[in-house]
Amino acid sequence: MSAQETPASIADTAADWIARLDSGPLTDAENAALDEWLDSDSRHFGAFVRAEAVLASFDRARVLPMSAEDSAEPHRTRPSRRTFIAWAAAASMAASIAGVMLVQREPTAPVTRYASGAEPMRQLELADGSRLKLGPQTEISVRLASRERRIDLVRGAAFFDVAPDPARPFTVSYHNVAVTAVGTSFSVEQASAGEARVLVRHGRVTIAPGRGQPPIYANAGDRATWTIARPETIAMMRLNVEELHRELAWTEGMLVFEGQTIEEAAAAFGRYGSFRILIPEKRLARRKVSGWFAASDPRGFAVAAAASLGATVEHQRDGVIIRPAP
Amino acid sequence: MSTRLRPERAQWLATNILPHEAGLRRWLLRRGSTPGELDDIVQDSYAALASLSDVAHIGDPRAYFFRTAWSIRLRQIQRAKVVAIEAIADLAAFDPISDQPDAERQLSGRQELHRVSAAIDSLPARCRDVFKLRKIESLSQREVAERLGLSESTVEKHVAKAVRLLGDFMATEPAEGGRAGAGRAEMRSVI
Repeated sequence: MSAQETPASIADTAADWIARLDSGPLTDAENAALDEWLDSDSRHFGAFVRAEAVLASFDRARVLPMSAEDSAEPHRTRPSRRTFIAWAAAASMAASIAGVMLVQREPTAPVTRYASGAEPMRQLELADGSRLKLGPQTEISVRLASRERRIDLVRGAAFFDVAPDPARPFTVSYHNVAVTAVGTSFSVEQASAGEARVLVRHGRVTIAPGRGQPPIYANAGDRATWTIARPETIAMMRLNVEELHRELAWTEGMLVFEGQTIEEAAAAFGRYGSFRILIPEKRLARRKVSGWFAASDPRGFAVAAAASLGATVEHQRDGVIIRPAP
Repeated sequence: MSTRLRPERAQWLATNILPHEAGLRRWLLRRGSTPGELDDIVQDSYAALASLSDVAHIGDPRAYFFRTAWSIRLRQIQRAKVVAIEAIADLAAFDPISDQPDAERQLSGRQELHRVSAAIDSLPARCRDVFKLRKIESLSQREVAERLGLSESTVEKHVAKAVRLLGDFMATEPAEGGRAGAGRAEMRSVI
């Protein structure tokens, strides 16, 4: 009876119904039972509605409200407002550091290559227990030897959750720069043509640019970027939690936008496939969006973004056109 | 009254009402509600909001939510019939929206994103695995069951548990505090 029912038990029943609805359509008997429960007490209906809203909060294509505070801040990806540590080569240190780059190589350890295609993220586990996530169009080669673990990033982006093993340093190389960790999680990414970057989520890595340059340390929350042709120009930036979360969202197959324009968001999706999101009207293209979206669902993003801005969507086979409402 | 929720209404509540629930609960406590009364007021408020035929006209959903909750509380007190007449008149005249000593800021999209992340991180491990596969990788409950080697009914129970726990999280975690919580979790060092 409702006199004995606590709000907690009502909430439990509501959650059970929401989970049942989430698994598939109800039978006629279940529908009738749910209707009866909903009608019997306004608190039942309220708890049901609330549980449905809770589940809806985690829908992936959700465009979130842009408050004045969101749009007042300039794009936080631009480094200009942050402390910027630029590191330059010191030739005199070359001799003392040369030893760092010497690693025992075992030519007999087998090399395994992994490659991903268009899917936004692919996971795999290495024999040492390290877990990797590969972005789209990524290729790596892996050699696990007795005294070292070596990965070569050929192209793309990879995120590493390194299984601790102090006896075997885990080193990722991209062109001539080697990133070494003992037990930590970090990404090494081809940022754009000619550029590279490393992001550290947990722990610490050593970045050795080779050619006798001194190594530098990057800690949790740091992002190191450099031009491939000139690795001595490695620049470090300490990201805040939001920026780190956004830049590593691809490891969950997601794109996170926090105040980017729709145009920028559409371009981000463009890296994951040939689906084109076009916004011909300039003022609309510069409107800002926040939210998290599956990288594999650009159409879902376009529909959600247009709905939140009151714009219209014209669907085509390989893309959409977003226009202001007539 | 068995109006099942349309998806757009669930989304509207998720975006415009649920984020303010924690603030509403704190505010009601400060205005004299006991903790035991809060859940009833909140459940009835959601029922009232879901019953509206149209929400497009609501310019300030947070204010609407607070006013709805306040009028529900008034009705509860009047039904109790043990409060002096003067007190009821005071309550009826009270405008909850003009009385905001601590400016509870509107949630920004950014803050909401991080609250959502922190909420998922707070789930127990197995429940979180199920929830992430269902909501982030969009597997059906059946596919989640196959992937994790669980029965479908176990998966459904985990989803129900997640809805329950996430609801509690959203109801109690202050919006601004979510940022600090997420920061501590993210910046933990392994070595």
